[in-house]
This record gives sequence, structure tokens and C-alpha cells, in this order.
Amino acid sequence: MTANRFQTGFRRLFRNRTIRVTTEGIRFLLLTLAVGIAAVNTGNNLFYLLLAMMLSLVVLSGLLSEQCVRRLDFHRHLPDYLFVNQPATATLRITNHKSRIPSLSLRLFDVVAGKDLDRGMHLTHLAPGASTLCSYPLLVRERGSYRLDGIRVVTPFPFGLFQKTSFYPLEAIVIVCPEIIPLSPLHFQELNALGQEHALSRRGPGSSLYNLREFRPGDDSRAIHWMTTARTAKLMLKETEAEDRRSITLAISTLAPDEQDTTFERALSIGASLIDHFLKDGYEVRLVLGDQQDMYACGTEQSLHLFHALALCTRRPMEAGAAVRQAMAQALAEPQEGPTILLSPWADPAQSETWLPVEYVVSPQSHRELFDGTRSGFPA
Amino acid sequence: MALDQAFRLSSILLAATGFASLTLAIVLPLWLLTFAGGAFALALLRVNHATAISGALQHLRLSALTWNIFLLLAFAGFWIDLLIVSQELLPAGIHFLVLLLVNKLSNLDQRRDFLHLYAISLITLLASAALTTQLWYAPFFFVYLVAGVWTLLLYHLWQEQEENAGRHMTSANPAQTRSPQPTMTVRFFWTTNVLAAGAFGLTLLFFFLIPRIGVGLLQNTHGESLRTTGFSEQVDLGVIGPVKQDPSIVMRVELPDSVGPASTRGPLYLRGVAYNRYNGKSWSNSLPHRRMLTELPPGTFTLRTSGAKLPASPRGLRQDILLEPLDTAVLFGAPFPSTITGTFLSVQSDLMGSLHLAFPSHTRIQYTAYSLPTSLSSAERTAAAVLYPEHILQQYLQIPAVSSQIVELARHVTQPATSVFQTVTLIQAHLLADYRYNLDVPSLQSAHPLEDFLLTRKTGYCEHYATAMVVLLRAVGIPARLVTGFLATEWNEFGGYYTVRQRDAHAWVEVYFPQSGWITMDPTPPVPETVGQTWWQSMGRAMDSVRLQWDRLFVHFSANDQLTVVQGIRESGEVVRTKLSESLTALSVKSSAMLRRVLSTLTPTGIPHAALLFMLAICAAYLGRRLLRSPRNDASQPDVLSAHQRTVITLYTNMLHCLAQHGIEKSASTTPFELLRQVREQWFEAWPTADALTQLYTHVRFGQAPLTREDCTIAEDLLRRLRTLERATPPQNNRTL
Repeated sequence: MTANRFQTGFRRLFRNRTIRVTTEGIRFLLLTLAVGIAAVNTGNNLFYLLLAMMLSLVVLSGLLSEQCVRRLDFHRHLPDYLFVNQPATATLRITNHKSRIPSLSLRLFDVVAGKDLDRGMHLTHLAPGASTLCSYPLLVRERGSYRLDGIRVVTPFPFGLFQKTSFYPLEAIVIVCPEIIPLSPLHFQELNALGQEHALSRRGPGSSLYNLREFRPGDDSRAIHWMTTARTAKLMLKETEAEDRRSITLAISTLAPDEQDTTFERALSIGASLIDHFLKDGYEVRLVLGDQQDMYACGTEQSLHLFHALALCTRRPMEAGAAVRQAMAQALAEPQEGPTILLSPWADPAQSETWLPVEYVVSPQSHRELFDGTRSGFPA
Repeated sequence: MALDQAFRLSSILLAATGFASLTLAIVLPLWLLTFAGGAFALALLRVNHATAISGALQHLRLSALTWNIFLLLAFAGFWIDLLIVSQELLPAGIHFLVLLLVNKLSNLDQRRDFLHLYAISLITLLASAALTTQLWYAPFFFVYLVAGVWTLLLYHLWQEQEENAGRHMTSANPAQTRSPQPTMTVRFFWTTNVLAAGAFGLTLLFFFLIPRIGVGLLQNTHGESLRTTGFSEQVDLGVIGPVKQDPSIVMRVELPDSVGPASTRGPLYLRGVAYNRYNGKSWSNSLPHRRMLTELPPGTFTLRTSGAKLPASPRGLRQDILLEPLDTAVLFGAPFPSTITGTFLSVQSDLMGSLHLAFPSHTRIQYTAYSLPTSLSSAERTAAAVLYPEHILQQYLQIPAVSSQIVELARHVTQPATSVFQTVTLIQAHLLADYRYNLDVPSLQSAHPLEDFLLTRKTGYCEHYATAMVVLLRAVGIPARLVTGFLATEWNEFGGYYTVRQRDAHAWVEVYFPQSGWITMDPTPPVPETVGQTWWQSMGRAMDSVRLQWDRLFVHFSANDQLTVVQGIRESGEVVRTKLSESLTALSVKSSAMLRRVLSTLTPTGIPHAALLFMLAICAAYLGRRLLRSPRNDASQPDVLSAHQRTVITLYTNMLHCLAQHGIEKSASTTPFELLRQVREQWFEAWPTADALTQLYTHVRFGQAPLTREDCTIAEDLLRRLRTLERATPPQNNRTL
């Protein structure tokens, strides 16, 4: 019972600690071993004294490095959404909770799926009770949930003979949206032409007054409504009603065979790029995502919902083809404003049998260069 | 000092310490010393005047090819040295090591060069440890340890700085935090020294804890022994004289059971060998037969005469003796040693009570001797004649063919004696009174040294006095023998022991009385000593005391010492445990009595004992939990604000008071920046000051930003300026009124 308790306590204390011997450390230990053998062989007490000195340096290394990596506190600030291949800035706040002992020579690694990722974070000195901020670029290559397990702290202090590693659990999950790829402007006109006749009252460039609101940083100062500002003693901004109000529906088929997984990811990237383009251009966008999501977004502020759906959407196997097609047909059969673009990651032979009210189809067959990634833009 | 400079300096100091210890341990050739000294000087010049003389040094630097050729030549020289010149591995290896050191000192450029230098310096210190056990090694070791901690620490920081510099160069947009590099500040200096002190403490701890397992495969047991005279089988009269000027230390003797002030300590006779045959020029032992001493218990050798029982306890005068390596196997002790305790294979004794090892020891030996001093019985003190055993008369009445004048002198001197003991004292008094102590006596060249001393020259030293007394006593029929040993007179008040030197070699007389045994008599007059002690003599004794401690604690620290320490700890632990247990028992008795009294006073109120005890237990548990939790809570929410940061927060609070006095009050829901907006709208003149102070406050309060003393000064100035401002527009309160 006591032994079990001791083992549990020992594991709790040392589970997050590892020690790696550096090259210099290996040489030092070999020298120590040699001195030890000489001491035992000769019985010379001065050799024992030298051996004791070298052992004391080893122990001192362990004690000081432990002091360096303990009682640290980490707080990470991450953006809500990331986009594939688009660098974002993450910030890490490190606090040394020790009252008297500084932490020295710290190297910090992000731990993702059990692997240490070197972000180039290095702290030479962190005073007792002090905290500091480290910012580093975060670049993710895959869509989905990006999970960060924690922070690994490594220090070779004080002599560089050993590297003491400590793991601080700091879990975080970031949604990584598909990559926004540049689209050819030549074909925007063609796409923009779709749904010109559908206009809705909404905020946007125009001359009619849509709303008055308080001025916020980043607003265009030319839009300040000076009369209201004078009356209310607050900076007021005039919002105009968009003169062109268009809607568009983007239907993305989530159906693709296993070998078409790369094309499916590419299709999602194209879809995200189209959504980004249309929303920035003032469209109200409806996204029909296979049988998984059906949602609207208007304006860039609401775009994150759509990107979130794209980030988490999963490819459906061929066995679920009928259900997906039926769900999409039902969703698109509903009365809607504006044209419909169908984005299909592969040439579905059964798709032609199902009637879908679409005006424009984007598929690897019709837009091969876009899907290949060799050249951005739609074919002429 | 810059990091790079400090690092190079400490590296050179480390190597210099190892090299200096080596030069003290072994005599290096002058050319090698000059060569190494030059390399050290150049290395130091490169560190301290790198810019000034870098051009000149660049010209002096040799190419890598030249150094490679140099190393090859050095290696060839090593073999020549080993096979032809010194013909020993250690000196040849050390010479080669010094050449390697010169090579590395001249090429300290890359990281590996420094590592090689450290390894070489460690080997030099190791070689030094193999060659010496002297006290001077201790300061060198200490300096090496301190320099080692400094060097390793600076090496790590230097390496880190270089890696950082490389990372900054390779990375176009580095994400590293721009934290300041550590500089060689006073704090760094002391912190590193504290680390070194910690390393030293750990070193001592490990040194005493590491189990001593001396396999002895490569052990060098052939040390250099001190040459002594006067303890061989045959001793020429006058051999002690030449060593009477030799200050070499032969042994140190502690008397652990002897108490009293140092001033009361008289001379201590340390008996070595006794002789019974004198042929007119030299003394010899006609009873050379030796027997082994009984070893019971192990390590304790007891001398007993045939047929006698072992003494119940070997008590008497106890002496702890640390004997230097001598060329004789004699063991010394105060007259008359009966028991010897030490790590010996065997101890032998001849028929005159002299103790010997089987062979001379080439290392220092430590042993304890118990001596049983003899005293003359009152009956024999006054006896007019005594009856000597036959074997005593046979062995101790031999007289060489000396002049009849000597026999006549003996009779003349002892004529007034009425007892045997008075005869002895008259001869002793005659020698003490009528002869002069003088070391400048050419006895070894004399054909009749005793006659020269007694009849002609009447000057001599201890050997002459003792020989004369023995011969005079024998001439009147009293058995006597000559004893050689040491007369310890130099008391070391710092270490609490006698220091015995070669010059303390002495000879005296043992006179036989049938009932009392052998009685020690010394006819040599005391040597006139120089009056007063100079400070360097005191210093010398202090140093000798330190040297003794060094020998005991470090050089000769053994597994037995470890066992002694463990036993001591165990015994003291048992004592502590017993006392603690007694204290706890007494405390529990007192507390139970007190509790009983409390309970008896509460009983009339109607509270049952069990309920009261239960309540007390709950209270104790609650208090215990509070006590246990409070430090944890404190630790979980540490006050991370520094003094400067608290100052700024206080200043901001004062600013709020100041603004409130001018009618701008901050409600609980108002944020600092909303308040700032109010200030801008209502009191524009104060806005820049309030803005700056608010910015500082928010950085501290919400950003946990570290602040400097300058920031605090600025904040104080801002508040002072704010207080001096007068608000042009009336305060809100006045306006509403």
C-alpha cells in the first residue's frame, strides 16, 4: 500500500520530466567514469575528490535545471480561425511564479499530437515573479481541428551537460478553414453577372441612408455624419444602403471516393475562395454542403459560419451517395433567390440522373487547371 | 566585462590552475615551463588586448599545418622520452600533455578547442593528484572547482549567445523574444560564486559518502620514505647528532585522554628501540628474537609476557600516532607500550619491549598505542641492595673494555650513595651537572668516544650522556640499557598534538629494578631553547595543524572512517530517539492529565465526554486543514507584481483621488479609458498627463509589463504635474449646484 502510494507520488512528480544528455554531457560523463575507475583502482583519495567534484557538477546541473523549469505558467492567445497555409500570429504569455529564482535559458516548443514543434521561442532570462510575451507565426497545412496539447520547456542550464524537459499541459483547439486560393479576376465578371436581378435592402455602397451609428476605429472618416455628430456630441457614422443586392447559392457535393480525397480538399478550398469572393463583393451567400450543412451568410462578418462548416465538413463515402444527392436535391429545390453554383469534387455518374437546379458547375472536368492547382482561375 | 572576454579568461584560469598544480607536483624541464608560460601569456594577451595587438598576434600565429607537424613531433618526442630519456610513462606522458596544452592555448578559436582545453586541464589536475598528497593541492583543487563552475556556466551562455546570433542571422523574421543577454554584473558574479560554493559543499558531501573500494590494481605503494637513524640493529655512537638539525616531521602524537592546559604539557618520551650490548663504539641488541603479538580483537595487538593473562582492558596512556613513512619498521609509543591498535597484518615485539611491523611502511600509518608507565616502588627507592634475576644480570651488565678511569669515576661518583636508587640518581646528577650539551662532537671519527666524552672533552649530546650513564651504572653493578626514540617537546596548540621532528631524536636510559621493572632515566641536560615564540612559528604550527587535518580527512580517509561515522550517526540517532520518546511520553502524560482535568470541570454541565472529544477532534481537524491549505492557496495565487508595479498602481489611485477632487469621479463600471475620455471632455489640460499615467497603469495592471525605476519616476512626475494643474472649467459638482 505504502509502496503503491510512493510510486504514485513519484509518477506524479516526474511524469512530465525527462532528461537528455547532450554531447558535451556524454563526454563529461565518460571523463567522470574514467576518474571513478582510476579512483577505485588506485584507492587514491585525491582521485575520489575529483570524482566527487564531477558528480557534484552533475547533481548541481539537475537541481538548477529543475528550478528553471518549475513553477512556470503559460497562457496562449490564438486566433479563433486559421486558414490553411495562411500564417497567423499566436501569442504565449509566460509567467515565472518563483519568488526568488529566475528561469534561464528556456526553449519553448508547441506540442502537437505528441510532437514538439520548434517555433523559435527562446528565453534567456525570466526574472522571478515576472512574465513576458512571445509571439510566433502559426502556419497550418491541413483543414479541420488543430489541437495543441501543451508546451514543452527545455533548458540546458546551467552547464549545458543535460537538457531538462518539462511538459505543461495547455490544450487548445483551433478551427482551420480551407485555404483561400486566388481566383482569376477575369471570371469574376461572369460570376458577378449571375443573380444581378436579385437585390435586397442591405448595408453597402450606395447613396441612400441605411443607418446611423457611432463611429468605430477603422471606419472611413469621410462617412461621418457631421450634423448628427454636432447634435449628439459623439462621432456618428452614416451607413448607406447597397444599391446592388445579389444572392447566390453555392452547393458543394461532399461525395467523393477515397482516392479523390485530395481533389475533395481542393474543392473545399475553391468553395471557401468563392464564398470569400462573393461575400466581399456584397453577395448574400447560401451554402449547401452536401447533406451536412445548409446556411446563409451576408457580409464578411458572417462568413466565419460558412468557413467553420467547410473546416469541419467530412467527405462522404460512396455508399452514402443516394442520401447526399437526395438531401442536396431537396435543399436546392426550395425557392431561392439568385443563381446556384454546384461545386463537385469529382465526376459523379449518378449526379446526371438527379436533376439539380444549378446555373453553373465547377468540377475537375470543367475547371481542370483550378483543381490541379497549376494555375489559378477558371478556364476561358 | 563582456561575456566573451569573461569566458575566455575563466577558461585560461582553469587551464592555468591545472598546470600550476602539475608544476608543483613534478619538476618540469625549464624549456617546457618557458614554452607553456609563453603560451599562457599570449593567450591572455589575446583576451585582454584583442583589438590592440591583434595584428601583431596574427603575424605570430602559426598555420594549422605547422601545428599538426608540431603535434606529430611532440608525439614522437613522447616515445623518445618514454624509451630513452626518462624511461617512465608518467613523466613522459606529462611532458606530452603540456605540449598539448600549449597547442590548445595557441589555437582557442572554436568550441571544441575549449572543450579539449578543459579535458587537458582536468587530466593535469588528475596527474597532479597522482603525484602528490601535500596540503598545497587543496587550494589548487578549490580554485579549480570555482573556475570550473565559472567556465562551464560561461561556456553554456557563450554557446547560447552564438546560437542565438546564428538564428537571428538565418531567420529573416525571427519570432524570438528579444530578452536581454546576461551580462557580467555584480549580481551575476555573486550568484556564480554561490553556485561554486554549493558545488564545493556537494563535493565534500560526495567525497565522504562515496564508498571506498580500493581494488588496488594500479596502486602505487612505493612512496619516498624518510630516512631515520638510531633504530637499526646496530647503532654507532654519535649517529643521532647529525639529524638533530633536521626539522622534518616524523610523527604527530595526540593524547586524547589527557586533559589540562597546553602549558602544563611536559616532554613526552616516545620509545623506539632498546639496546643492551655496547662494544665501545656502537650499540646492538643481543636479544633479536621477535615474537608476534596476540591480535584480539582484530586490529588490537597486545603485548604480554609469557604465562601472563591478557589484560582485562588495555588502558593506560592513550596516544593516537600518525607516523610518516619511515625507513624503519619500528613502532613508537610512550614507555612502555602494551597494546597497539591499527590496521596492521601483524605486530612483533623483541625481548626488550620494542615493537616492530613486519616491514617498513611506505605510506603514512595511523595507530593508537596504550602505554603502561612504570614507577619506582617506595621499597626499592630506599633499598640498600636489590637482588637481580640471573637473566637480567647476564644481559644488562655487559661492559666493553673501557678505561679503568671510567670504572674509577663510577665508584667515585657513587661513593656517597646509601641505596641503589641513590646510586642511580648520583650518576645522573653527575652527568647533568658536570657535562655540557654540545652537538658539535666528531664522535664517529673517534676510536674511544665514551672516554673522550667522560674524561677528555666532557661535551656531547644525548647518545653520549645515555651511553655514559649505562656504562657507569653497569660498572657499579646496576643493570641498565640504552633506548633510542624521540623526545616530543613541540606542542601544537592549534591541533592539540605533539609534533615530532627528526631533530627530536633522543637516547635515554632504562634502569632495572626487580620489583618495579624498567625505570626511565634521562641524564641529558635540557637543551636551552630560544626564548619567546615568533608569529611565524605560531603560523607554522597552525599550518601543520591544517596539514594534519588534510591528511586525516582527505588523504587518508578510508572505509573504516566511513564506518565510524555511520556508527556515530547511529548511536546519536538512538540517543535522540530515546530522548524524543521520553519527551513525548512526558508530554502525553501531562496533556492527558490536563484533558482529564478539563473534562472533569465540564462534566457538571452535562456534556458527555465522548461528545466533547468528538467536538475537539472536529475542531483540530478543521484547524489542521486550514493550516495545510493556507500556504497552498498562497502559492497558487502568487503576488507577481513587483515593487515598481505596485508603486504605479498606487500613483494611479492617487490620480483618481486628484480627479475626484476636480469633479471627475470614476464609477465602478467605468473603465480606465472611458475615464480618460471623460477627462478629455471635461478637463482637457489634464488629459495628456492622465493619458500617460493611465497608459502606464494599464500596462502594469493588465499587461503585467515589467517596469523600471525610470518608469516610476516618470509616473511620480506626472502625478505631481497633475496636482499643480488648475481646472479652468468649474467642477461638475459646482456646476450642478
